Amino acid sequence: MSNDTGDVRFPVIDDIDRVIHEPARLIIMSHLYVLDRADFLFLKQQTDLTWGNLSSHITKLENAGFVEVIKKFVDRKPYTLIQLTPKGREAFEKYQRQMRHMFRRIDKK
Amino acid sequence: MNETTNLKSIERRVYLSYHQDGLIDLIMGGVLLSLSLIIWLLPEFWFVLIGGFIVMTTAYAAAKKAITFPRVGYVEFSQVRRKKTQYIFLAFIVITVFGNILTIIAWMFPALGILIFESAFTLLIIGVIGGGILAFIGYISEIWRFYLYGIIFLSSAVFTFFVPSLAVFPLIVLGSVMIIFGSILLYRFIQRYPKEILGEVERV
Repeated sequence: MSNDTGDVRFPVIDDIDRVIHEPARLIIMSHLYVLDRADFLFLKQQTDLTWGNLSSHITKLENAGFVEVIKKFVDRKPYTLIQLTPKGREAFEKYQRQMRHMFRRIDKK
Repeated sequence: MNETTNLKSIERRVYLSYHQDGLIDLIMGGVLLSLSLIIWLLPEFWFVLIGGFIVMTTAYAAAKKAITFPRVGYVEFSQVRRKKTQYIFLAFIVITVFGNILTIIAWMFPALGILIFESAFTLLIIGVIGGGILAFIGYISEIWRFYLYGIIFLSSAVFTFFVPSLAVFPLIVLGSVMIIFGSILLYRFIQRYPKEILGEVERV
């Protein structure tokens, strides 16, 4: 879609959730979307982020209400697990739809 | 770009990375090899067969906790994946129950036992069933080496059918191959994922 001056506009771009749009957080969200829950170590191994980065991104996602951090005992051993909240799942699906829509609008020619 | 496919591939990659530790191969191979040696060398101790499955699941859970969790972390897979794992578990139970029934029949009715266990056709049937179950596990879990195990088991059973040899030959071959594969996978897994200092995991 273009105006008279020829510049392309994407009406959905302002609506894109910047919390999810950041690459590291997008990777974290993608993993949590297909899993039930995982601990920090597992996410670190899968995403190749450092402890500090992972922790700060999780905090941002937690503050946005997209993930929740829960403590669980597995065989008397405590695990700090992260899982998507229903809000986070919904936001991720919305983000997927928006990006798909946006890419469809890009003319390949 | 197909998002659905990509998310599926993420899930598959995560699941497979969790099973690249070779533990299932090592433990299954160990149990199969032990059982075949017992059947061959000490047939009067047939009853240990019943414990095979219990030993396998207990050892697997313990090894996973000791080796895998401290290296790659803890994860709970989706409902769909958990259901698939239950099917695999069910396949193991079917094998165990089937094996135990045959063994008990052989113990109670020795004449029938000779007919069951010493017939070349029985070996062939066991080869087809065993190979099929291993292929089923490979299909459900998407761990492709189980297809190879199925082929190896079936081929050894066919070999035993045509070239009379030890009745436990297919089990010995499969158990040995699994142990070799499992050892290689475990070595590579430990090299790739050194033990993390869990204190660092703690946040806030």
